[in-house]
Amino acid sequence: MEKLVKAAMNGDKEAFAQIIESLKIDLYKIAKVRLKDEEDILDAIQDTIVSSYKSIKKLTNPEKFKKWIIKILINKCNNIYLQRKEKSIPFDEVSENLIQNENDYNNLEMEDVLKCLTEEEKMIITLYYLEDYKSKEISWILDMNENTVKTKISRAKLKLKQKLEGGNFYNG
Amino acid sequence: MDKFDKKISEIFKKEIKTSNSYEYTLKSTLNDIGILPNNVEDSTYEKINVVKKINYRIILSFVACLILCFGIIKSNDLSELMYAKYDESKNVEIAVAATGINAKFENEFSVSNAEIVDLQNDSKLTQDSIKIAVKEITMDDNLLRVIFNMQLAEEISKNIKYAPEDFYYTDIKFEDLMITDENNNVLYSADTNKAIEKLNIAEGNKQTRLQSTLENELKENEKYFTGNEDYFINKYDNGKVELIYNLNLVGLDKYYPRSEKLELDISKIKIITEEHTDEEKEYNYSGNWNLKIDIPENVYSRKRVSYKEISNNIGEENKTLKFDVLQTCTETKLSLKTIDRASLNPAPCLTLINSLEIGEPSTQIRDWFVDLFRASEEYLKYEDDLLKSYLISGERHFEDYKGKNASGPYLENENGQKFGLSRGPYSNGGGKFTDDNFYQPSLCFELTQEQMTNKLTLHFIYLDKEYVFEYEKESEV
Repeated sequence: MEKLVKAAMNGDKEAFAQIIESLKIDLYKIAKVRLKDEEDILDAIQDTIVSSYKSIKKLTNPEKFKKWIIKILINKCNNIYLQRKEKSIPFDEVSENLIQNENDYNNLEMEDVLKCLTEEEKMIITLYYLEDYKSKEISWILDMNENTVKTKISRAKLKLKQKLEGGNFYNG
Repeated sequence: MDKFDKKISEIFKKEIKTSNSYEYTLKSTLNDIGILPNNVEDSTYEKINVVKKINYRIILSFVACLILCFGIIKSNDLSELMYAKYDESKNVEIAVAATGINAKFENEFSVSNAEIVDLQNDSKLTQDSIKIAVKEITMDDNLLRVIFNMQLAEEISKNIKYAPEDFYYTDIKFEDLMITDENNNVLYSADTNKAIEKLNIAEGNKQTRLQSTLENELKENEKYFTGNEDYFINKYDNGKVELIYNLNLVGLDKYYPRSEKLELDISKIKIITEEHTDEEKEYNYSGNWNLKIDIPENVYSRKRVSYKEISNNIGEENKTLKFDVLQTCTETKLSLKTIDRASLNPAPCLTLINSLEIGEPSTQIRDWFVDLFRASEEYLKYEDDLLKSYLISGERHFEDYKGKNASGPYLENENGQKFGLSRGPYSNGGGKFTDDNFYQPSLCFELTQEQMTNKLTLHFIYLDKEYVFEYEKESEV
């Protein structure tokens, strides 16, 4: 990825296209955490690609590219989310005890897992599990205090365990 | 990470299948930002204006036409309308021949000749609140690169957050920068009206002539040289700015004059801070800065070396229209037999739709149908075929003259050195299609006069065929 980013920073359009191709699933999943409407998701990703292309040559650290484009995407999603706020569903309740046995995990989707979390927790936990980002990296992306992120990760994980396993922590 | 974490992580990382409309959005966005050429002919842009004109009377015939064509509508024109012109390469690295085309200046800062006005707050600032100097100029027949130094007063710089790594961008633009020379050539004008005035294009009849007519005349004027532009902050430190303007004429049939004196005029400066964030803010200042530069002889006495094509492996109908070796790059313009793009289009009636003069709300209906078509499998295949006609590629890996791994088209000199596409401040990949199915791309390579040899060879791949063109030195101007 870093080589491609460097090439793209040097004006290599094909490299930029390859980067987007390699990130398209993650970008989609992240946008979907914040936005419900498919058209809004596509708008946010489209704006993100254009903004990142326009600014990539200003990026000084190619290693940061993925975090950087995710940050742009979340900003775009937030903008759209604020415009559509009245249409969104802020908090979804979910029945407890989704996991009766280990195989039940295979049937779960991201959306099922996120249902019991607040909007803020959803994004934090997505970056944590999808991108394997540490709290410091998440705090940079979301412009949040690192300790706040740490606390929210712990709380969200606790909620997930309680909701998914009905309060019984998975000991496997 | 414990076992619970791993299970959850696996759920988040599950493969998902993306929708057609998502794939289509990605592809069209990438096309918009330059996978397809920037140099779309002006007539294409004019068509945009045409379809925006209001004419409700044709709505019924338009919808009828759409219904007749439903399922097979494709559009060359509409896909071309999607192109947008975005910033081109901002890499500051330029291959420069040792023949000397750089001029560095020790000029003092110029203050504004008029009072500076903060247009946002309608407040007046002192004339030295923004000071500007030309630090360096790089110039050959194709490139004019100006490095400005600026000094901003604290009341201006306090608003600027510049830390690209932390996502705090700032852009500074001279909104009406005009660069002229001792022969009244306009080497660049950010404001076309300023150039129209300078070159007396309107000749006193400005009020009675269409702006588009004036602009077309301006483009044709032999003293007007505005081509591609790109500007960016190269360094910023506490109000001290190094701003680079890269101007070039790639793809145009013009060469910068051998100017000996340059005059740079600026009266409007725009500063955009925290670009692309929710905190983005814009500051506008007016004043009057006038900078005069003497160009050293080693810059204006430069040469341009032209080559002629002596053979190609693909057939006589493919030919070279331009092959110039300059001090900062080699510019080539080719004419290549391409596919019959009109035959790709399974819906000729869309040409008719494009030519209709319609306006709201009929445009919304049209856009709804067009969006539907563009997300279809058939349209995606059409776009793929169309894309091929634009793309000039080359070897996936070769070692360039710097010993670096490179890919794509390349030029090779008689010493076996290979030169890839320029990553400098030139746009490349732009091109035009002719009515008789020729594609005419302009490509810039890193080879300079420093590395040229009597013969040069160009290698690239187009429409899955390997092309090799051979050239021989012809003349020096």
